[in-house]
Amino acid sequence: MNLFSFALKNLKGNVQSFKTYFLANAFSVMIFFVFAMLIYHPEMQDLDGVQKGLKQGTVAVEYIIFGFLMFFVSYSITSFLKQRSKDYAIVKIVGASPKQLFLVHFYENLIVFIGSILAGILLGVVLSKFFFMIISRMIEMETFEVYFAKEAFVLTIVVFFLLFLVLNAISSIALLKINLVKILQFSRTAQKPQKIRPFFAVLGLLLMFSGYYLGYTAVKTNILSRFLPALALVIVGTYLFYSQSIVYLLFHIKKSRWFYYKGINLLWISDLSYRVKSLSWVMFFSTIVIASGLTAFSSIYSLAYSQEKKLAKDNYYSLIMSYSNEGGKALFEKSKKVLDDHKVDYEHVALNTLVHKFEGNNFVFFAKLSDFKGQGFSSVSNAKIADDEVLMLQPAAENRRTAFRNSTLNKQIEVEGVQLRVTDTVTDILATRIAFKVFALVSDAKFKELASKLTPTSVHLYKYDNVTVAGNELMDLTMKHYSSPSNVQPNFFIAIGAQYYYFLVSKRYSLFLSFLVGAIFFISAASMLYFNFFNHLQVEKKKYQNIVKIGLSEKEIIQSSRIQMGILFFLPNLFAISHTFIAIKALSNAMESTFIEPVLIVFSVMVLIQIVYFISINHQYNRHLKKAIRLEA
Amino acid sequence: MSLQLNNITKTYGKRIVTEALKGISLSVKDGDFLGIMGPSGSGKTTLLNIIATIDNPTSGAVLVNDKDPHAVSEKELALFRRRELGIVFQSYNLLDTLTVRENIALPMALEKKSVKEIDARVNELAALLGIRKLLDKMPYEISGGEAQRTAIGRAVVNKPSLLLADEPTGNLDSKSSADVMSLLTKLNKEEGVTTVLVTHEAQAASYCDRVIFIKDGLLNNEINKGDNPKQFFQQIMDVLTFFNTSL
Repeated sequence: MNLFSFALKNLKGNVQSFKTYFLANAFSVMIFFVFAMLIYHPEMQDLDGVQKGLKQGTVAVEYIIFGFLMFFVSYSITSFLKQRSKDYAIVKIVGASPKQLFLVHFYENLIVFIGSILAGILLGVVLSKFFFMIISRMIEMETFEVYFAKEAFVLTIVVFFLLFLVLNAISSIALLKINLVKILQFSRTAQKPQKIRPFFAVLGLLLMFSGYYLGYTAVKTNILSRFLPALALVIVGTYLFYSQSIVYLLFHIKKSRWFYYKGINLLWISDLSYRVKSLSWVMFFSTIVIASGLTAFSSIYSLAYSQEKKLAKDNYYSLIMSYSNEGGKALFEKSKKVLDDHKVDYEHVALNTLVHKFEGNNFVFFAKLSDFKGQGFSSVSNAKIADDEVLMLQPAAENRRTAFRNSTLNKQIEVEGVQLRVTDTVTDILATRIAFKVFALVSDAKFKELASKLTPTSVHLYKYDNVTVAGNELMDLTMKHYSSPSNVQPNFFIAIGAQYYYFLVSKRYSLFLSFLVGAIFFISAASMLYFNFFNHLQVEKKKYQNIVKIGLSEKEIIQSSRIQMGILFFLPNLFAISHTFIAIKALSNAMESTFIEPVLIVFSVMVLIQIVYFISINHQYNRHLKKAIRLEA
Repeated sequence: MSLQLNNITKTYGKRIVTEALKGISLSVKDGDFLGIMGPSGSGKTTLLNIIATIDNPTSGAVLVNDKDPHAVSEKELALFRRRELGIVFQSYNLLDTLTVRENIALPMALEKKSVKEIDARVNELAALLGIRKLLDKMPYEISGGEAQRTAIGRAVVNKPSLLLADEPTGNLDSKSSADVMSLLTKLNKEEGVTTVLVTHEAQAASYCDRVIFIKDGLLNNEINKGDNPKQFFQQIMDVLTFFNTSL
């Protein structure tokens, strides 16, 4: 029997312990592969306009995934080594040379890695149809067909093979350090309880809460300077919490003997205070990872949500255009046809204006007061102006309004030697809705005079309720309009539907990407805890087998293990949620809006997923425990 | 408390059947201190496990106070072990995560006794077992003999009617063995704990009132201590020598 077949036999005999390792790797490969397929998809190469960002986004996500998977895979490789260390120790004790031991380890990992690369790619191929269907839906493209790019296969195989070589080398070093005495010691394990350091325990909580305070009370003006300190405080605080504060807390719970000495409390509390020591890194890491994923997802979701609301609030007219040439006229006719084709029920306002360009790129649209009176706005219906007077309409959008107030426009305007005195500024909301730019209303006679000096420009405004209708067609028109050099300002084409469409596509896609990243983070964090539980299972089995003999019922054992697992599982999630909440709170302070509604949606979905995940893992774990107890009993 | 075994058999395996016990009947009266001896593979640990309700007999009946503990539900069985039985193992089986005090207190905590009651009982036992100074130490900080005394404390903390000891001196040096055996004797004589001890050491067995010998799954011999301990030890040795030469 050569070493390779020995390694193969080892794996066959240890299916249980390498199953999780294999699955974790295969899952990582699958995610990486699917993204590679996406990056090398031909459709992705010729995306233009809004969708151009998709490729950059996807590539960026692929990098994040890779960086993260490196971490994750190296964790699973070392945890696998731990599971197998007893076998390796036995191989060593029967006289295997370091080289032979190294080779056995190498072959075992090689088999698992090749197997999981193949399985991951296969899984990716199988799921690709489903995956591409979602992507197509997200970015509203019918044509995103499944395509298996050669490069995606090559990239995945090369990247994971290199990863394997590097990680194998690292874990081989750990292999050489196997301590025979420690591993083969079948008697009592000399596990020392963790030292209590009240200072650090309190410091952890203090740091975390001061980070929370900084984030919670941040405002627009100080968010940038507070961001890094708050982040650092929370991260360090979280670490200290898991490594010190929990131990301290449990120490105090132990002192409340009426509680500690009550039934199974004695079991799970003492167990927990031992296990948190080895778990503090995993819990810390899980918390940060889940919080990052959650924050990324919630903030993108919240931003998209608030932008959508803002878009609806700021714009009364759904389609606004102004033109002074034939090209613009053609566009007007095209867009009108689009609306008519979709049977859009709209209100249409047409105005003849004269455009005056001033101070660089600012425009004033001159219109007749009589035309505006015809629109029936109460705020102008009684207005009277002399020939040298002008009535200003404030623009509707908030930022333009501020710019308007700061300009000289509220005193007087000079156009080609004609002096006009501003008599009044109309701020009436209804009237100003028309003003996508600054509008200046003059008398009919003055308009006639200005007409010889300024370019006549037609303005068309459409109002309709369902602004998302024909968004992609209006988007196309918008893109064409602004890419043509003849259509420079003041030829405007503002389609709110197109903007909605833009938001919709980029929102969906970034949501999708951030959801995937969040999901990867979340699944990996949960898997780390999972590995840890199952690594610990052997010890637990033995302990409970003994303890059942002194009269602990199966129900009590399951209860004790469930409480313990629940705490270890949900604590990181709980902190991740509160970290995210603070981050989102800081973000909404900075944006001066509240994101409570979308964040609540994200949190409840996440909690729901977590509960389902916990129940399934716990169920599996308890099945193993029960089996062990019953075998013995 | 009375223990009655009626024609207990135990077979393992389906195709290749191993008969560990071929029909053992035995009765233990209240306050007895019974030793079970036999060469390895004789079935003595199997017998103890059946008495301890850890294992089920293939046929025959175990009656504790005229009731069969094997016939009750899983939950009642746990309560039976917790309240009526105390078990001491060769490898102590203390929980690494608990202090000596907590290890002893565990069965009482499971019974949801008050802290006051638990403290009183643990302190009383600690004095009896001579481990008062060790109460706040962790299992890894104490010696094997001390660990076994702790385990005995845990076994008797709920005042069981039957104490079962499976090779309790198997991992100990002779001094610690003597300590542990004297303790078991003291508990038997002073607290009236009915005790069944499985051992292969003549020295340990000589502390019992009565020793039975099992060989190849059958009851082979029985010796009573009577009034002469020295003679009792010699008799045990004789039977063991007979076992060895007859192999």
